[in-house]
Amino acid sequence: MDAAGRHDIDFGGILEVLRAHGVKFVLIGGLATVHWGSPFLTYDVDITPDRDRDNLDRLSAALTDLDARVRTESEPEGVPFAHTGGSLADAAVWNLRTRLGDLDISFVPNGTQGYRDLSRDAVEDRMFGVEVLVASLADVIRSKQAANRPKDQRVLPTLREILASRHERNARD
Amino acid sequence: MGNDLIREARRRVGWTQAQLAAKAGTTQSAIARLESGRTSPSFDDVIRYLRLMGLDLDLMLVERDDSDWIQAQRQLRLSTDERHAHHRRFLDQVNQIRGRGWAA
Repeated sequence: MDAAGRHDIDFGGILEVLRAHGVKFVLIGGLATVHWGSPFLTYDVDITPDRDRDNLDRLSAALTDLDARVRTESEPEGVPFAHTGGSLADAAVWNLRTRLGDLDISFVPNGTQGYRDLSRDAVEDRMFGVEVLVASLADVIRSKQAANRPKDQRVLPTLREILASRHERNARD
Repeated sequence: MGNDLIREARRRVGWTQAQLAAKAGTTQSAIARLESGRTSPSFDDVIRYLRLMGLDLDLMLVERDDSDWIQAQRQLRLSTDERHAHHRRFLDQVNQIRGRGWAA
């Protein structure tokens, strides 16, 4: 985000770098909800990668390609950090600023058991021209409900309505 | 929504449908029907299932505001590609407005 509050992000670019490095991940968070019809804006890419060691090595290479830095409140432009597949596994969450926009990595999102849990109902689909595994809306809701932050409380009623509207029995006139 | 809540709670606590069925004194297939929306649980049943899983519903009455849902319905009429493109355009417009500043 710049001084004027603008968020520059290349969603497709970030996803393409991850795909090009062969990173296995599930797309979660706000961008996944946009895929399912959410009207709420999101400014970053949230993913849950597989914690398999080879995959973490590929993720580390992708982060190098993206010039990823650790995003903090005091250093919004990010702090450079050295990483390997092994060191990435040492933290549960990474909030990163990359050359293409913000990327948040959560290995075990709230209310879930991580990649294998989320990939079970995830759907392979194209986003911004890139094939990605998108978490099901039910699973994103599960995670947001467990996290229960104010920003989650704001969107959950609408996400639940979208989910419920998919049941034929609940279809609206 | 009750069926979605029960499924969400079961996944959150990491139970199988069979485990929930055993706790609730019913069958796995009944839980499957319930979660899929083929049968509709009563409000009291939803509360009972959630409590069996150590969870509860925190409820309060509020004024209905369907403005977000109306916007969501517009998105649901679009293809997924159109939703992505719409989001991109919307974000660009927000950035343009922010770039002009509040005085504009």
